[in-house]
Amino acid sequence: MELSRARALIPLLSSTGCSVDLTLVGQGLISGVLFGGVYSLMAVGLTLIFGVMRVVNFAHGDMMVWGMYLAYLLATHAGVDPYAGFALCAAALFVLGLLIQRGLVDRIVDAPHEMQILLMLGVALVLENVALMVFGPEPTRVTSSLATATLWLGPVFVDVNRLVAFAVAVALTLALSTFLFRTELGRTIRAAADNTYGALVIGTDVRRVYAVAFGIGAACVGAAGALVSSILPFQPPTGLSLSVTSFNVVIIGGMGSLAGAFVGGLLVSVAESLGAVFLKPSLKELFSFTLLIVILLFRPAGLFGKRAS
Amino acid sequence: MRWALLAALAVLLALPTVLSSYAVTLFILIFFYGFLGQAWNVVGGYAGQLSVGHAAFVGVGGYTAAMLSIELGLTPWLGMLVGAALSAVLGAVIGYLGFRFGLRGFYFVLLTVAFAEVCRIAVSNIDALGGALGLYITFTGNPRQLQFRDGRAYYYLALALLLLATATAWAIERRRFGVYLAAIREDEGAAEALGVDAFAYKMRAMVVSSFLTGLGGTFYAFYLFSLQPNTLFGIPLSVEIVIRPIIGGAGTLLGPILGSFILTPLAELSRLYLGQGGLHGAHLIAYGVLLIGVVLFLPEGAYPRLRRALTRRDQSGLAAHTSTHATSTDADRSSGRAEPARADIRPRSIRAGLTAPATTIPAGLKSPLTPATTPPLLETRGLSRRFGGVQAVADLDLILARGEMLGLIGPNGAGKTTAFNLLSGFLAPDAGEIRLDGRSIVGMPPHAISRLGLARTFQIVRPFPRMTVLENVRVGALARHPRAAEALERARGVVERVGLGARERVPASALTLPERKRLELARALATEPALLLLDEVMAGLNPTEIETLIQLIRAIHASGVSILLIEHNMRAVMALSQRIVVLSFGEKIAEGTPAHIAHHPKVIEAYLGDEYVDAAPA
Repeated sequence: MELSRARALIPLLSSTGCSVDLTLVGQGLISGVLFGGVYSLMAVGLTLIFGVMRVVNFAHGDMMVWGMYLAYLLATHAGVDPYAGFALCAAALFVLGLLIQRGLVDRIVDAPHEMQILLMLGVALVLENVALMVFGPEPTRVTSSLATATLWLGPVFVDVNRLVAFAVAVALTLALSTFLFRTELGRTIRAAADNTYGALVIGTDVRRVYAVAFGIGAACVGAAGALVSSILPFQPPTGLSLSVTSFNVVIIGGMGSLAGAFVGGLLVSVAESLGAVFLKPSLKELFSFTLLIVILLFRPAGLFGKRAS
Repeated sequence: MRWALLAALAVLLALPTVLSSYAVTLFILIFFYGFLGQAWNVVGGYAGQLSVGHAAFVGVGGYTAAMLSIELGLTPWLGMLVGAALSAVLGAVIGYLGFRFGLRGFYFVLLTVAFAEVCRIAVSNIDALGGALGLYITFTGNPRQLQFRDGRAYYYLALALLLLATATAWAIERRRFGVYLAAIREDEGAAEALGVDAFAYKMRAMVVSSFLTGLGGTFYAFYLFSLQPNTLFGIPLSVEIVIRPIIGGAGTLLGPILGSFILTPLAELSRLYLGQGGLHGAHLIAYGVLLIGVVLFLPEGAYPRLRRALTRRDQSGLAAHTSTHATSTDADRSSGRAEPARADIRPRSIRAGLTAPATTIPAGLKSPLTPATTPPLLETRGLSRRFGGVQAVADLDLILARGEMLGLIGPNGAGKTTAFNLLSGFLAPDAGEIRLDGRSIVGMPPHAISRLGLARTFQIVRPFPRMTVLENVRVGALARHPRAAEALERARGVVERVGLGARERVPASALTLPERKRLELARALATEPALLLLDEVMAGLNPTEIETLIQLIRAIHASGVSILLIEHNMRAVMALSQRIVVLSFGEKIAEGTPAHIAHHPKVIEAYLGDEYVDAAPA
């Protein structure tokens, strides 16, 4: 499927003078889709926080970097493989998210957006630079037992760790949506997201809902961070580019839309992955920021969202 | 206050003679970051457009001057202006895209960040600009090359930049420009309704801010002799720029300077003592903590708090002043309630034809038709607007004669407020025509319609909460009186007129609901409209308050202002309107005198259901 679509691209590209290796495109597509699972999980966390509280978590990527460093600590000090340790990372980030919500965000939920943005920028600065202080500026990567394993599908290969990361991320996203749609607490969260005032009127403990939602949102990036910690080399400033990617995905999908975040994650990942095939690696970031500008200007409503006001 | 500032300036001018060279460096940084903060303050503080990408302007300004100097040998004294001009162009592009596409809050922040990052990455990849390694400027010590052997020269240069930016901010603050920026920051929609072209003013603020910031880029480059894309365009610099005015007090003149005097030494000391121990991020952690602390505990910033503490002594004098005001207005009120209009709210220019008191007109107003020679003041034909499956306003024909007071009533959801939004330009109609004084206003933005003499109030009042009553009304008055002092005088007259004279120095956020309604009215009135659209000004008021407001509206009408009012309070609408139009489900179902409407079967049906029609008195 992916390969045939890639083949269709070839005449177009060769007519512009590019010579493209078909396998490379297929490879890009596969790794894009597989990595997209993690993007989706990351964006689902961001969109959940936004949907429930209307607060944009500027520290999202920095929280994810903390998930990565926790996975790193677990792997180096306790010998826990990140593909098992992700659950612990998610739990730790859940607690961190809960604390940030209860201690800080809770006080400014009704404040002007500028105040919320500044507060979350402050949180991002603290998280990033505490990581810098503790772990230093050098890039780190966690070694996993799966890191070197590959599967061959005809001419293209599949990284086993990407495959596992994808599977776990999709499973977690599905579990989260089951939670939100099938359980009492999940329904309450969605109700509060839909109409906070209405939820208050019918006696919902909105503060508790907010805390849980922020915790879950943070847990999503905790897990996502652990899952990519053996794929992506990371350092404290990585948080910013991860935040930007999350914003890209969530705005494409529509702020507050879970389905949009999921599909958007796959789309952005494939786009970046194909971009990496054609562009210099240093220009990959340029691509994602340009994408962000274009998205901001032309699709502020996203694929599944209502028009943002 | 003024003397204290002049004394402080004198001290700063004399200071380098006694300072150690390290202290001079520290002051240079304080001035420079204070300058960048002040430049940011124009758009980020006064206009409230949060940019976290201002480093891009530093980068463009610095790289331009450096390249011109290196490649063409152009002196940075001129290159500085070229760089600033290019920064202003970039600022105009970012501003145009952000403001035209309506990106607010979070989205605007992201846009500015994204632009700065695109610039950073692009410059890092352009070999002609030195790529990721950047540019180096050879030190010659030649003042014509903006290079000095003596650090004190940079001290005075940085101080001059700070003074330039502060003088610019001061000039903006005390002019209409600054008042309008503050209004836009507080409530853009309400500002538009008062004739403020929000887009144009935000653009101007962005261009001024990016130009000044661009000047700073040249200083930065020729002070450090090296330019790296990561430091000149990077987000950390943007954060440095933003954080000082925020901590010191965004949108205040001295806030950015105070912020820099607090933060710059803090950052330098932590760099000096903690950075050497390998603790690189320490000052950024401190920034983060301060940012969180300010948002939670001091959202206005340090300067407003400091100013309040310093001026507390003057408060007693102020209280005495306001109490004299209170007695004078009470006297006014008791001397004559429905006194004829004062000259100060009488409309001008296109409104000149309607100054005859309305009381002499009614004969011609019993019928909706006006003499064929002059067009009606307001006329709509086939006005329609749909929201999804709901036809909010359907094919509405409306005529309002000069000097008329027309009531617009209908059950909840009848489309009255939608009609107001269409008339005042806040919504675009799907179809139909609107003519104000014979001129089509369809497609005009709210501020342009306001300038043509149509003012409105909002059903849910939208005062600028952090401005005083007088300042609120001044925003309206500036539409006709561009000079701030004159507008203030006009505003004072209108405030007295609506009976808020005793409260003119109170922030709007502290007003009671009836007072807010009056403020809303005063603000609209201050634009000196020919036609005033009042959206449920009586809602939430008690009978006494309603009675006074009815008298006030009568007086306004008598002064020559035509009025279209939406009202649910039947007593008020019957007492005030010369003619009433009834809407139901977006359609006009009846039109006529109050007496006629009160017995109209369709109206009774619309309000009470068809079973009441027979029970109605004939």
